[in-house]
Amino acid sequence: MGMKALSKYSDIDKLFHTMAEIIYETEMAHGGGFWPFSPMRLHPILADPFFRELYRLLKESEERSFTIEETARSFINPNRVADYNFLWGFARELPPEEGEYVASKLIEILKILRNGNPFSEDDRNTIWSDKVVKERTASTPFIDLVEHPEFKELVARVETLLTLYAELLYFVFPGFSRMYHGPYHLDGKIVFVKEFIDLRPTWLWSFTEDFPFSHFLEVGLYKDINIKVRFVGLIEADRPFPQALKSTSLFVDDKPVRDLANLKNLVDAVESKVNNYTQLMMSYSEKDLMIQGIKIFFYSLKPLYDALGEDIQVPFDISHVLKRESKEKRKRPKSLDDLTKEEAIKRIKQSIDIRFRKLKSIRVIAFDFIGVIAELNKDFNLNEFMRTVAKNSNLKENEKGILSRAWYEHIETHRGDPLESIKRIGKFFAKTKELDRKVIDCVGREIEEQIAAEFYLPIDGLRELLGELQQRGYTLVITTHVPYKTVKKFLMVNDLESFITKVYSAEGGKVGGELYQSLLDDAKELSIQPLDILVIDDQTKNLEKAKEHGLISLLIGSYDILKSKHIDFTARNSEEIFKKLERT
Amino acid sequence: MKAKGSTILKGTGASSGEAKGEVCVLLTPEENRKIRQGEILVTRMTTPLFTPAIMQASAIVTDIGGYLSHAAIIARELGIPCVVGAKEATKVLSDGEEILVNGNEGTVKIF
Repeated sequence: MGMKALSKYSDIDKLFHTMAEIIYETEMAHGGGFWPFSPMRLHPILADPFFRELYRLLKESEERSFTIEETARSFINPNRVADYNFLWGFARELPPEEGEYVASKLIEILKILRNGNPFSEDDRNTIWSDKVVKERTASTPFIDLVEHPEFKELVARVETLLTLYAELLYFVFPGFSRMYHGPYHLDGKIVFVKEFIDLRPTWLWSFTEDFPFSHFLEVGLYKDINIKVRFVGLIEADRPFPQALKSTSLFVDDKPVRDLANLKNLVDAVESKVNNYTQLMMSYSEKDLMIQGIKIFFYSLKPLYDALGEDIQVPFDISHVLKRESKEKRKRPKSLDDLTKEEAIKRIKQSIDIRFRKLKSIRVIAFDFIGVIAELNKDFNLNEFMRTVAKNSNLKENEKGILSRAWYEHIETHRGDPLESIKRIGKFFAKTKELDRKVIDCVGREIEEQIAAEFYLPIDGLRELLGELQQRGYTLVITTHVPYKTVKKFLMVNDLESFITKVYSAEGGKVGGELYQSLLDDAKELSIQPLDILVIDDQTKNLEKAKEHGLISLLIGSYDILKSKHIDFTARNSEEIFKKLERT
Repeated sequence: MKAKGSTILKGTGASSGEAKGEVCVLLTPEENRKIRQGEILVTRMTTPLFTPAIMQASAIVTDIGGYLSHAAIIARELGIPCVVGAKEATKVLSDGEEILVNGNEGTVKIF
């Protein structure tokens, strides 16, 4: 029997799976060549600060009692929101809980903007509800293109120009402006809406001030065409649009355009502006364009900044970051050519799913655990902990110096907030290259001992601890040689059942390594990373085995830990421990 | 020697329809002015910087790209035939040559 995936993650799973499919398909069918540069250069610089800012703005909106509906409407175009998901694979420092929060909010926003169809699973971008489609088509005067074919070429020209213009302004994310939606099906007709928003983004490009309009909308009635709109707004059609367009209705800045001469003037004006801007854009240096590429993302949040009464800001020094970028070796992504489509999508999903990148190493996990302990256990003394590390270590003087520097920089500055301090020092150790491996090992060893010593908690504390760890995305399993029934009863009586995904009991004949192997097989089946699984056991030697299998573990109930703490246990036998915990 | 009617290039048909015309090879957007109305734009790949040239073209042929490439999307929007991923189009074809682009089959023939 496999482990049951946690249902609260099903939407997030779908988000990352959908994105993995899109990335795979664009990789295969795009064929290379990006203007003005590959997103692979920009995204590593952009992903972390952008998601952190998005997290801040979403939280702020929540605190200011904005409804999710209000927040969603400020994004206007769901394609923008979907496009943000291209950045997940590059977010390396974003705290996982923040990433998960942002992902879940993006899904909520997409649900609202796409009328309950957030992932465009039916290849439709359903911005209008059926009711709106009916009302808009009933109230819109259409131009019959069979009777007036002279309009057709002009419509095609203006929409091509606007598509090119959207790319000129928003680079590989024309969906920040282009908002094609539908196809809607109404009384045997195919209704497809082509909309372009934000065509005068002067904060971003001051020269756009004189563009003839800011918003374009065409409601088109089509025949014999199969149009697909994918999650990120990518359009597929089995024939060119003009061939299938039968009737049209055009609006610029909400005013109808029904006169041929007016339309011709409009197309000429757009063409002239786009040609001028194209010429202008050729004079930009690569660095200028990189800076613009970063600003595009923050600009897309403008309505949210406006709603919160804040000015748009790029929360880091762009030129400094670009300097660093030019020195860094750019990694080429692993080729997907040798994989089947399913394998490739699975690999991409794992690389972009923020939850799988939750923690980078066993050491960082250890810091995370210590953080939980510090939060739950009022007696935990961080100063004491660090002193013990220093005392018991066999560090050389200079290594101690490095440790103390870390201590002062990352702990003393956050005095009084142990959880924050620990999180910071955890991150520091995880990424600071100058720290000797020995120093990290030394701290980590002490932490592991502390985990064993401090994870003793009365049953309420245990419940709280497991709840907290579950919140952080760990899949919690128990491995034990105690009969399955005893453990289940213990979990039930103490209201712990909902935290534990599965109990692996040795009573079925499986012992030690076999138990862990079966656990890992289950995890593989469910695409759960070993580092996201927390093994709970009552014997140190079993946990050593867990560690050998790359799993992280929590020791509960051993005599040495329990005897001196809140509950007076004396039993060495784990079965008795479970029974006693049951009674507590 | 390029025989009349022979298929000289095969790629992916990304926007259906047929167009006949003279080749205009553009290797960079700086050459945009070279193209005349109704000519066939042949390039390595298109970008928005080719806008003035694209708007003059009666068909597009590119060396690289797939069904979701820039040239493909733009051609479907404009309603002109397009063949992408024709590998060496910019080397094989020369300015002024008369060709027939078939966006259904993904072929380029000498006309």
